[in-house]
Amino acid sequence: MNTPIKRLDRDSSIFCLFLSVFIGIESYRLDLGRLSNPGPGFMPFCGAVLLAFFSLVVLIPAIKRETGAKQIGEGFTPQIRWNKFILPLIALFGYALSMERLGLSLTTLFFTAFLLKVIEPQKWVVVIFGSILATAGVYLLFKVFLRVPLPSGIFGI
Amino acid sequence: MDFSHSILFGFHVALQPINLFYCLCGVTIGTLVGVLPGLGPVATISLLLPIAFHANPVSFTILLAGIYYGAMYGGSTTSILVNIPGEAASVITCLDGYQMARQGKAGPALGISAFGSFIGGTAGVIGLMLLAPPLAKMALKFGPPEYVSLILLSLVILSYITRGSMAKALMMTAIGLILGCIGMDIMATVPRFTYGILVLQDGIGLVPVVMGLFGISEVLLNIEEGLTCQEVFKTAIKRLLPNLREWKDSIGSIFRGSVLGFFLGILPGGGAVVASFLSYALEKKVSKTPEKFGTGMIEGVAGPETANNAAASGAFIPMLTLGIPSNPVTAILLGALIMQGVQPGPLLLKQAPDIFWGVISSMYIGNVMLLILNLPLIGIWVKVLKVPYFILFPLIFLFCLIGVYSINSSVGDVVIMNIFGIVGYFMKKYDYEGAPLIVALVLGPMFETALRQSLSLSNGDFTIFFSRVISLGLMTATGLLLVLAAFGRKRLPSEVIS
Repeated sequence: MNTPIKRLDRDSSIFCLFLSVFIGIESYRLDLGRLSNPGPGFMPFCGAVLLAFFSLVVLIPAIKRETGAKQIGEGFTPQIRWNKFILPLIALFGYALSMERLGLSLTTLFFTAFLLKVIEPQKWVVVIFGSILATAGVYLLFKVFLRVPLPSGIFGI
Repeated sequence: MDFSHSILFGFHVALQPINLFYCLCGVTIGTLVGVLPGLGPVATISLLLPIAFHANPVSFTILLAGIYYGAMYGGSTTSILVNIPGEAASVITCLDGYQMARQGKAGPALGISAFGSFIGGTAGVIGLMLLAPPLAKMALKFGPPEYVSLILLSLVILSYITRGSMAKALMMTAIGLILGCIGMDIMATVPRFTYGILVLQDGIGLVPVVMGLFGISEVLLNIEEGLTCQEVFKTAIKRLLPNLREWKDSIGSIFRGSVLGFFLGILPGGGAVVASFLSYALEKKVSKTPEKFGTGMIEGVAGPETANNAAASGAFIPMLTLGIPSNPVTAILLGALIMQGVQPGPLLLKQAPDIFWGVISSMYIGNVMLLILNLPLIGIWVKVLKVPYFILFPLIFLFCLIGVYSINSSVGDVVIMNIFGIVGYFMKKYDYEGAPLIVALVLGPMFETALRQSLSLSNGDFTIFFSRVISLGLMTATGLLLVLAAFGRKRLPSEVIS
């Protein structure tokens, strides 16, 4: 009995089916060209057709199985611990959006401190020393050793 | 240049101090990531790509290749001592390796795994030296239709052998092909799927996608699952050198593993993971006592560990000679080389013999380094296993963020990486593999150009793919594989799956 997998397959293949329809329409608008002279939309259109076809291959048996599963009250959605998923993402996007304004060092310091205190809570001593060490490490590696041009931000650090 | 001169030239390149340094760094980092569960060679190579870009193409390729085959060595340590594979190609080693450790034979298990890896890796390199040049010569005869058929076959094989549903793997292949279309269409100079976003004009970069799918997503999952420090099985690791009896039991497995692994590695779409699984199945089949497998049989360690290293070397053949990657690692290498201005393929031998022969020779040197490194340093690798994850994960994140930014100084690339981190997270949750997507993303532009050229050549007639001998052969193989898959034949022997 592999109902959980079938339920996952149903949801994901429906998503991919919608995606393929969107890509197909966009590719058509780009111009498919002719077979003897394929246009810019030809390849993505072929990709969309393939995606739609295999989404259906996954979806149809998943729906059949799902119908049976509902009768015996089974179901499954992937287990996601949202706080452990969303918080690192906030940190990651925050880093991306603030690194050019605040500069590499300051952003790295705040980012590491956030991860060590909020995501995997540690003692303040570990948080402070850990984030300072990590910042110094990446500064030395990327800016001093590899001479990568990284943003200094409004404070020039 | 004749064969012996080529090899000497290769060693001359590989023995340059800077290349030796990069080779040593590569195999050491590779072993380290092989040891650490939750960080495979694909993630590590993608993590180190931005740093490696600062090296010249020869040193760069030597470093990345070293990480790949180094990880094959390192992966066995955790399988044997902790019963947790450091990376996918060492999953099967857990079965008998861990049992050997429990019986107080951790030393011989680690020893035979290191020797087997060395012999397999060396056999693979020798095969690479012998097979690559004639294959490159043959590939010169390839035109656009042959390339279309070959890429199609590679993508289908990769989907066929991928764990789980083949239809889902083919969905990922289709998405990879579509992603490869984003950006300016070279033939019609029309922007596709860019929606006025500047960072998409040059297409979606391979590095942000790979780092997102394999780096960020992996850490997100590990944070969620609360990956903790591993408890190492407490046993005295003594007598790393296997005794005569153990050698006698293993030598056949090592030989079979070398041959099987090498040829599976060459196959477009083949790779170390499949090689290790099939080698285990083969050893069980030829054994007089198959029922004892899983209870600590040394053959169950020697065969797969040899096969995965031989496959790692073999996988370089299609990448170097045809410009077709056989797995995500070689796909990243191919993409990275192209970004460095080097085009792997049949002309690589003539245009960049230093890369071709230098990398091959460095692999031999790297295998010797690994043998020297692995046996005496096992104690250190065991200690590495105890590094808490709260130290590792911020560092991995920082490497991803700063690394991807450093390539083009673009915040857009960092955002793309984060988005693919989310995509990769859900792909894993919903049981979709990233490998077909990455390979299709790399091959997509090449496939599109060849397909459009072929159709223009034939005036839109699809029989061009069936009227040329090589193309017909490749298309027939693709068709057969699809038929096999459609009739539901199991892709790995049942005893291995169970």
